[in-house]
Amino acid sequence: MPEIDRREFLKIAGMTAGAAATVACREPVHKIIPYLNQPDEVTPGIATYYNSTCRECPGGCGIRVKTREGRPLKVDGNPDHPLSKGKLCVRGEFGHMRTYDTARFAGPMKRVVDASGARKLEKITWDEGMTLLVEALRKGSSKTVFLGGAETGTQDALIDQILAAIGSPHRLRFEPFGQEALRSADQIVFGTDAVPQFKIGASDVLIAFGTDFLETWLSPLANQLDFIESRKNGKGFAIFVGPRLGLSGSNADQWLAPNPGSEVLVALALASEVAKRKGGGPEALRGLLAKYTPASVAEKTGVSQATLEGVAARIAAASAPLALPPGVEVQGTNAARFAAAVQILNVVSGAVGKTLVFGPDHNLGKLARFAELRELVGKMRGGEVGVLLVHGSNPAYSAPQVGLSDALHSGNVFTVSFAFAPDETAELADLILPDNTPFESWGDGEPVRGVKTLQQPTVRPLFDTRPTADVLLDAARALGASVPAGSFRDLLVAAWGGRASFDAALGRGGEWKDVAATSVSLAGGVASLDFEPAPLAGNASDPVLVVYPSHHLYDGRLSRVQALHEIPDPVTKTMWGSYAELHPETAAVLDIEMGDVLQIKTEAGELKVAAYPHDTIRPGVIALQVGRGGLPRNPDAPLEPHSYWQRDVIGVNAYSLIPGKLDPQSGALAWLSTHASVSNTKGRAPVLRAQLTFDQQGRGFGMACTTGALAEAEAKHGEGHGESGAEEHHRFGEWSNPHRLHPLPLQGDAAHLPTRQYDPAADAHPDSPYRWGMSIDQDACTGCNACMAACITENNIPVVGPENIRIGREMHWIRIERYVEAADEREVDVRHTPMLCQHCGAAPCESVCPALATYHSKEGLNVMVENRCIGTRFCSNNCPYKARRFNHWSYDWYVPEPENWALNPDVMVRAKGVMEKCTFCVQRINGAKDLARKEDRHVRDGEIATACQQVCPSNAISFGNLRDEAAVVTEARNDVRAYRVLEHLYTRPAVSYLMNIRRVEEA
Amino acid sequence: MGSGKRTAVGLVVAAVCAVVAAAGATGLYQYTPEELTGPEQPIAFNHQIHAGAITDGNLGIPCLYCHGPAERGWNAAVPAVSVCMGCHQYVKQGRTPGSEQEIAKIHEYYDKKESIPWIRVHRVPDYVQFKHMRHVQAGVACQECHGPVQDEKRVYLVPQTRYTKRSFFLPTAKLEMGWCMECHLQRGATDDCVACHY
Amino acid sequence: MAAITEPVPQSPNQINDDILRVLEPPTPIYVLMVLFFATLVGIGLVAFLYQTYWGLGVTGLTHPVMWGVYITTFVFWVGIAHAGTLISAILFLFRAKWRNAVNRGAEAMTVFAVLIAAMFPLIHIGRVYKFYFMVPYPNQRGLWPNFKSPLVWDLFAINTYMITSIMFFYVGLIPDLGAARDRVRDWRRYLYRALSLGWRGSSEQWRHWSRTVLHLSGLSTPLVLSVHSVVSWDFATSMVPGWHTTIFGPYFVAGAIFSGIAMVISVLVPVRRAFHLEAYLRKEHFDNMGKLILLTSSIVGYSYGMEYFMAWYSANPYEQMSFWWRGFGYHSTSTWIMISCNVLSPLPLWFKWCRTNVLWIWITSIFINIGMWFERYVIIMTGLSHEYDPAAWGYYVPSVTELTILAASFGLFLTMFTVFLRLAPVIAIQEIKELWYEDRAHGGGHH
Repeated sequence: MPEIDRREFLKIAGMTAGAAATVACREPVHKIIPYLNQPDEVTPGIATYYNSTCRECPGGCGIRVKTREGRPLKVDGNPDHPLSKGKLCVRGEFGHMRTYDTARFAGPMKRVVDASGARKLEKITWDEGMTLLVEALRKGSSKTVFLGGAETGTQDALIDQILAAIGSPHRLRFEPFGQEALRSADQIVFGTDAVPQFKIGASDVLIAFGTDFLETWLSPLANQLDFIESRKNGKGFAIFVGPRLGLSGSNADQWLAPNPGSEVLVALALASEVAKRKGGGPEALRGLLAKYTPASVAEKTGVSQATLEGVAARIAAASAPLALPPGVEVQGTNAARFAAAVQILNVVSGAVGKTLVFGPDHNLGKLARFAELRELVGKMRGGEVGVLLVHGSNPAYSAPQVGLSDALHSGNVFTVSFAFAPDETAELADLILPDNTPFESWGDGEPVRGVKTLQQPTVRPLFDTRPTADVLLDAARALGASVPAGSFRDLLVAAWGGRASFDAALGRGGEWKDVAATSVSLAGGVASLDFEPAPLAGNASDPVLVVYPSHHLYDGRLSRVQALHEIPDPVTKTMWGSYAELHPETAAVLDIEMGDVLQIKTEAGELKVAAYPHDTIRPGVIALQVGRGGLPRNPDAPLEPHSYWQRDVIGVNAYSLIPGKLDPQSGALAWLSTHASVSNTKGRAPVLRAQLTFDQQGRGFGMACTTGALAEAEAKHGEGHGESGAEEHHRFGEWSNPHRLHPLPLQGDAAHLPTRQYDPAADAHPDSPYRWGMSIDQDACTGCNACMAACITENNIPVVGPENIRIGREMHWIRIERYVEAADEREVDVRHTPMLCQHCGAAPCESVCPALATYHSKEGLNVMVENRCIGTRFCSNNCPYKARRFNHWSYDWYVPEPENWALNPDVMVRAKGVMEKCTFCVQRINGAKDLARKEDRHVRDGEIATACQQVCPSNAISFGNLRDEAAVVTEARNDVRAYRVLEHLYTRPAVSYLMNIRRVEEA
Repeated sequence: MGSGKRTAVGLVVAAVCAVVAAAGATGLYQYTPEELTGPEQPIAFNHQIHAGAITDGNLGIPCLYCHGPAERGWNAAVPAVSVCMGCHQYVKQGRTPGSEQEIAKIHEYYDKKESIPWIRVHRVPDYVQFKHMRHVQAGVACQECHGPVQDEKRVYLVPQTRYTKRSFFLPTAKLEMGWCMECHLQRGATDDCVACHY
Repeated sequence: MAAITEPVPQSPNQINDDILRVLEPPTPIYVLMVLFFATLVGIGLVAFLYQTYWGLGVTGLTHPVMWGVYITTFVFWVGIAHAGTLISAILFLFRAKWRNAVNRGAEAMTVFAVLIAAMFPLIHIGRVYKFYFMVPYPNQRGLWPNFKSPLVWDLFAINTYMITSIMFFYVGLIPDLGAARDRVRDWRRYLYRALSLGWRGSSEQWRHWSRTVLHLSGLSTPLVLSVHSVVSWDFATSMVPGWHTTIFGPYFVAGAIFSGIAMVISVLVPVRRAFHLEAYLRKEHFDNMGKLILLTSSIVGYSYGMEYFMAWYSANPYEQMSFWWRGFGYHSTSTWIMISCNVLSPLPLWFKWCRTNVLWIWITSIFINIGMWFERYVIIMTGLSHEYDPAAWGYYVPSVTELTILAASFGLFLTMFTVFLRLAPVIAIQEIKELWYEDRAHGGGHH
């Protein structure tokens, strides 16, 4: 952490911000604000990196933060970290943007009621704040409750210690996705209340019961790394059981969509069939399983006996099968038993101890169950709670069922919020003592047993905030309670065994050791369990309400990061706002069209939201995503023309539709518990879509080959028959004829065919040592959008807001195209094609630019010189990949302080009227070349990683020098699955793709 | 009749004058006095005394002593106040009259824990990514772009105009693109747009 | 010989009187008209400044439809600009006598239209204040434009055409300016005196003058064909489905002449009526122009057909999809407007009665103007909205700003034309006189 003065830091920031503003007519006076004392590790203009921990979800991935002059600019994974392995997810990429949030609390505040009776916040000093806190704690000493989020490590322990010291050890760690069901299930089945390791990486057949393991479940990033590991070159097979194909489902190979609520029976039927095929399975379970044969459940679940047996056969035959317990979207009032059923399947399929390992558990055991939260709120109503301390949790938004706000009023609880930015719960607070953001504060954690990870500040606090741990320590001291001396940081250092070992750990980002697996055995009493489908309230003819977690906003805690609203949802490709998803059939029945405003009503409440019919959701359900419709982002944002969207967090809060039913066993909230009455208000609302169709017209953007064809082709490959074996699959007869797919290469003579492999001899610049190229493995790509996030933060890509998105003006340099070829119980064939500038060898855009603003560099880059561009936009018209983006407005005018501090100084900020596009992260290429020149050598393979490649949790992207025979990218380009998009147009792209692998037998 | 001719001639003459005037204006750019002396800085720092030749009785401190990052990083980096203090906590009395007040200002800033808001003199536009280290490593003398700073009492952008072939002998002012390109081509450095513009 | 229904001028002086009457002090209605058109221009100017300040966000342009109303209007006006040169140059070389009555008006139109057309690329680009990056001129950066780009070719084509047509227009005007100078008594006298370059009407001057006109028409004849071909290359050289085709050259030129003639008619008919020039803008003139319209209309219609045929015959899925959208997609109305206006509405002109019925042919011409604007709109918009990448398909809806500027361009055109009416003889006096004397020589019968 550079030891610089905050004021001075602000100045530096101000200077660069000032320099970035390009609107002045006269050349403004530019200042240079040097350091007061220059920190040793900082060279102006050279980035410094710090290892830390991502706190955007309980996953606890290790991150490496790039800072320039004391400002975090870019977040990447920590390569040494066992969970993130140098990768990061779409949410983690924007962690630092919450620090630069415009509407953060500038300092402590207290709630006052003014003459008109309106409650509003009033700035106070920390001294006043502390006295208020201490007063409150003194009064309500034993009736104090600390309501926090998932918290592990030193701070967690310390808070417990402090609460004990002030004589009120009441504490709740509330997470909306709390894994209660799984814990109870393990209690029931194995007799241990733990969240075990699911070794997806080691599995060869994976079956997920509505588990969003690529979105939010447990440690999504690690899950994805493992998932891709398990699917390397055609291995692996995934089955998804659930009402809708989320990101995880889209990457499965088979989709069972049983009647909502009856998934539990599917699990049991599979278990019993697997047991049968494996010779009966454990004695204890035989009786139980006998009751649930595929035949018996087929008609209850709506899944045919044949299908169930087929899947079961696959599992039985697998060497390392793994079943993932239910995700929240299918969590009904039978949640615990459902999870138990899945664990039983794991038992009979022999996953336990192999792919399902207890021991290195996830540290979620201390999380509160939803029932406990409700209980607490009950206490508040009863006036049994004096003071409520809220930290890192927002139940007022994410648990409307418990009715926190009126409980606080009726029980007049003195509420202290430690939130650093406004949220619904802070709105209710009487006193706000803002914490530092994770990027400003010290900390540590142990998300998974054995993985202890450290968190260090990368920037001085931007505002007058204090670490909550220190605040509590001071308060406790003021109360005369006996707490350890020193600041939280001292205690942290101490906890890590003193300065030396602390610094050592800091270098790595933490310390990790393997934890021995503990063996578990089937608990008694499992046999006596009885399993029922989850009952669904409401009118049976109405669609079933499915509410699911948001891949971008998690439970809504990231809803203030606008870029996350603007990145298209990985499944629906919608942006900015909530949409009610339903199947076209259901829509037809209910006489609903795309964009109709629906009124959705349950016993819990009602919402108005636009309809979005699409194919990858089961008929008879209506799905909503949580995370949206929170507080306005910045109510005080200046209402400049075209920038009003700074205020928006648009959408609706889907939590409010979930009735407060609980699962009796686990005390978990039943997310899937009701039908919803849907009426079409006939109103219209814009549906902001990145993609108007999921049908690629057989145009060969996302190509695929079957496992059979792949084997064949690989055999031939030796004889040099390029891609002959690979075959293209189409649903649409009209366009399905391959001869129509490639009209041009099939005519004319071979000499005019595009070169398949890169041929140095044919290079226009034989003297240049480099020819940059990229290869993207579509079979690995899950469409998780992490690359888009990385690209946005690296290349200063603006947020354009819903109004511009509505007309289709998104600015993303890389987008994920999603094409649905098949999605049913036979096969799921959803293809994700990351589309970016292909840096064509014969680029159509270059020849038409009158100003020569775009041209081909000697190193094969298709260069866009923004400051030479006059904006004729001919290049964009002529780009068959539509990879170019145009600055319709001066978007940089509307980036509010301090968000513009996150701009990357290595990349220019584009003004209005110019074209821009992917540069292959030329700033990184140039950086590497500078280094190489200094050491008088050529750039080595792997030295350059583009932002998208660096972050990709699937390792789908490889980038390098095509002239280097040994380079990874060259190999990938010569791979049997390799193809170039639209290469029959003779654009000679530098980006090559590897085909999807359809895991089906037929060749 | 004749008047018609006259008017016509008048029009032509006017047009010619306009063209000539326009052409002249491009070449004969008048430097404002400020451009010739440089802006007033918060502290009247005198490069001549610090960096001037020892033979002329100056200190002859090499540029990189204070502007070290120039060979490591992108920015030449105006030195941190602590660097100034390195010497001036002892050197309180300069050799020129009135220098002690100026030196006192440094102490003032340092004690206030404020850094000195220098006015920027040499600047390229935001769409140019200029890297000092590349040029210093390539052995380009600071003076080639910054002019004889060691002889300047107050730093200013030394007006220097080149008339290059590439620019058809149109005037190319210092730190303009044509000015950079001339040197790049002479030294066989890159002429790739993307070397500087991204 | 067409049936002579209008009065025939009795003497050369009467010709002078009739035609120069137009130059006499304006009526209030005329003033109001000019004011109205000028207001349109004013509004358009404001819209343009608004756009320049905020950026092209104020238009409906978006990804992937990056060209829209502005380029459409640009091509439209370039097209209009063709009639003048065609009539004055080509028909002059072919000695088609009927042209004499209409050529002045047509030439004026050409000049105004090309001036307006030249503005639109500038209105269209994102950074109009950097337009000079497109122009090849020595600069300190030592940079040149990209001569491979059709847009640079455009720059040259349009400017050449503009210069030539202005010269042509002006030279043709000189003798009449002389005549006007001798007649007009107010301030304009001085203007004419300057502009007529001391025209005396001596036989020597006449000889030089007619030589010049001959050479100029020789010079500008090829331009009629080249300019719009170059414009068509803006599209034909790209790889956008629906643009990338070889027939664009002839297709666009024919279209240009088509719309040009139509515009001549739409403009001259009101003039003829307002200033009682029936004796000069005679029915047989409209008859002939009607025939030209029929010819070009057929070529255009054929091109439409051919585009669809090639799309189907090429078996190129992208072309086929693009044309499917063009015919039945979300903007198919534009397509059908284009076809009905350009192919169907001229059909009645096969009957002489329709061609010689001034009102009828005038209405037809209006339709054609609309149709031809939509032709360009359809080509540009439908081509771009459904290209190769299905995931990047999009829609385009013009914004108010764009439509305002479109309206302003018409306002500007009409302002210039109406003002021109008052400043110079709308009909080439000397040529009419020639005809008149010839007719006398041939004993009274009209040509």
